[in-house]
Amino acid sequence: MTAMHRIVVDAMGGDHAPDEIVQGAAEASLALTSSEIILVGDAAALGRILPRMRHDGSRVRVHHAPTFIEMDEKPAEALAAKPEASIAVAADLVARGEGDALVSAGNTGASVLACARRWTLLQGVRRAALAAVYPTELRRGEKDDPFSLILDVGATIDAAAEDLVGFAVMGSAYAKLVSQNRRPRVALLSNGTESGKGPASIVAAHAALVETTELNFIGNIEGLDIPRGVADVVVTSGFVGNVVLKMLEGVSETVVRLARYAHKERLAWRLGLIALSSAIDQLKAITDWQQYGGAPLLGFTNPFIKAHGRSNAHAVTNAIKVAHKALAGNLCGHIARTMAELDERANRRPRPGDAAGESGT
Amino acid sequence: MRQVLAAKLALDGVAYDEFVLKNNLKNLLRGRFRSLRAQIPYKLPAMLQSRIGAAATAETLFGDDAEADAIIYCLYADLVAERVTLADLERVLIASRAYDDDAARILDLARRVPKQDAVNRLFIHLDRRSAPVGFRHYGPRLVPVFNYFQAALVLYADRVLSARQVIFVALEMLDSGQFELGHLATSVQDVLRRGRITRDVALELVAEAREAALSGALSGRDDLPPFEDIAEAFRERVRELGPIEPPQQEPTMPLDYVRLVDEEHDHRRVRRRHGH
Repeated sequence: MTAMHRIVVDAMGGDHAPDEIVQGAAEASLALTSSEIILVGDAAALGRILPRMRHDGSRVRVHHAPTFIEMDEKPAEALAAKPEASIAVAADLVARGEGDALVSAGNTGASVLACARRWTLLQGVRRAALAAVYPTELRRGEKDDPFSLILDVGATIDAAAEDLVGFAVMGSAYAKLVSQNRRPRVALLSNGTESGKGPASIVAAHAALVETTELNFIGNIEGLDIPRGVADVVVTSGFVGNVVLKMLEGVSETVVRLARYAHKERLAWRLGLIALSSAIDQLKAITDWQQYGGAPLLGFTNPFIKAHGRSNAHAVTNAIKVAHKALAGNLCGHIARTMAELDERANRRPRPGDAAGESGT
Repeated sequence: MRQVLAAKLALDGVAYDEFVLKNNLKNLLRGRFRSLRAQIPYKLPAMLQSRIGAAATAETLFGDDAEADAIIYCLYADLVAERVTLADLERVLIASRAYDDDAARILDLARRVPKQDAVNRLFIHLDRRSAPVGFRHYGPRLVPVFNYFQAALVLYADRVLSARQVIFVALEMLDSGQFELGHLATSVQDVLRRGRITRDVALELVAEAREAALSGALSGRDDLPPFEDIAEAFRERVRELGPIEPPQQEPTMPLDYVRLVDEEHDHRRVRRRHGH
């Protein structure tokens, strides 16, 4: 029998919690026979919902948490006021070794903070990074994945060159495993493609990344290259990543609004949209974030998959499957090993003082 | 098929009084195509006949969710307890599209079967992982279970099995390679959450199982952790539920078997359409 993976799910987090979360977990329990799912939340409510779903009762259990954090609460204040909130209890379970991975569709800030306060960073990782996926023109990997990974999108504000190198390693390891992309193209987000462009941290990170053989580093890219899919893993600081992500989301929403306006405004435009409708549906299908499930918080000794706040049962099932994949593929182990290799190479590199010493002997 | 099954049962060391198989070849040769899929006209007379041959004072029935076991077992239990009349049974047999001669035979068996409220417990193993709530209307005597450890737990609560016997069921399941101790502990939590056993019974079982373990129920099982660690894991699963009280079981209401049979036919049609 293979080792059982214990995936902790914040059952109360998300716009459609707990019903859709429980249903997603129930479906995952039927698909992932080597995993146990631990639903954290109001045991009475979960106990009423679960028997309504097809599931495997020997592989789904409930861990009571009396409160939860609302989607619009301020993370630090909410965690302080509600130490027994479902996300805090869930993160605790993993920290105590009673779970192996965490999935939540709840308040992103509170989820990240709950993990950051309780979990241990992998050896060699200075800062964790929250990743997000973005649909692009190009597809990648064995799964024909249309999504590229952007990190960090807000786990921390600023990032030093060493942090950016760490993000590149983590993002590459994740893309290899989850998108089954053997050699993901990793790029730094900057204001130009030249190696000397950008702030000092970007320039220094570029210099370090071109030295690595473990990564397929393709250099710097600009913002417009993100939707083109030039890179599979886009590395940036949390502040910039968050601004970029929200801008991309804003652009998408504006396009949809403009299409609605066009649909209402003129018959010719409406006919044009109708002619395009099958192509639009296809585009929606390949870029459907619900298929992807969630995006990871990387850098800790355990994987955390952050599902979209609007996740339905299908998206939650997929997020749990991503967590299972991260555990089965030992994602954290791969990241730690690559970080150790980079560290070892950095230590072997002769320093200016070492060269002087040699000439003196 | 009979020889194969008999050999398998012998291999597993299972002693049985009888087992009945549907003779579908005979049904085909006689052109009785409805009998190929029929459940009630095949299983119910077999159970009635068996009881006429050797009436037990207490019966525990085991079935699954693949076919109409829940309906048939409840109908059987209600027939022998005289909660279902022969006129009701006739209506059920018409709804289940039994051939006339089968219906006449079943009615005759129902007339002759020794009457007693003998069926204490019915278990439906959720082979198809059906939602447990779908069986709620059958009342508290019918318990849908995800595995036979859960059945053993309920039978312990019913005072049919001892803690030692529950341990033996657990060991069989572990030895099957399909379950780990964690699954068994989670199975305890599941039946507790569904109100099929109480928290007190779960804790009582742990205490009695300790005595059984001390008296050698786990001897030679060096592959398992110390009993105290196992017991603590089980207690922890109970604690994980927090202070909530499990739902109260609804009392058994008289079942409308004709409606249940019609619904089962509809479900079967839907399953066939979806290729299940």
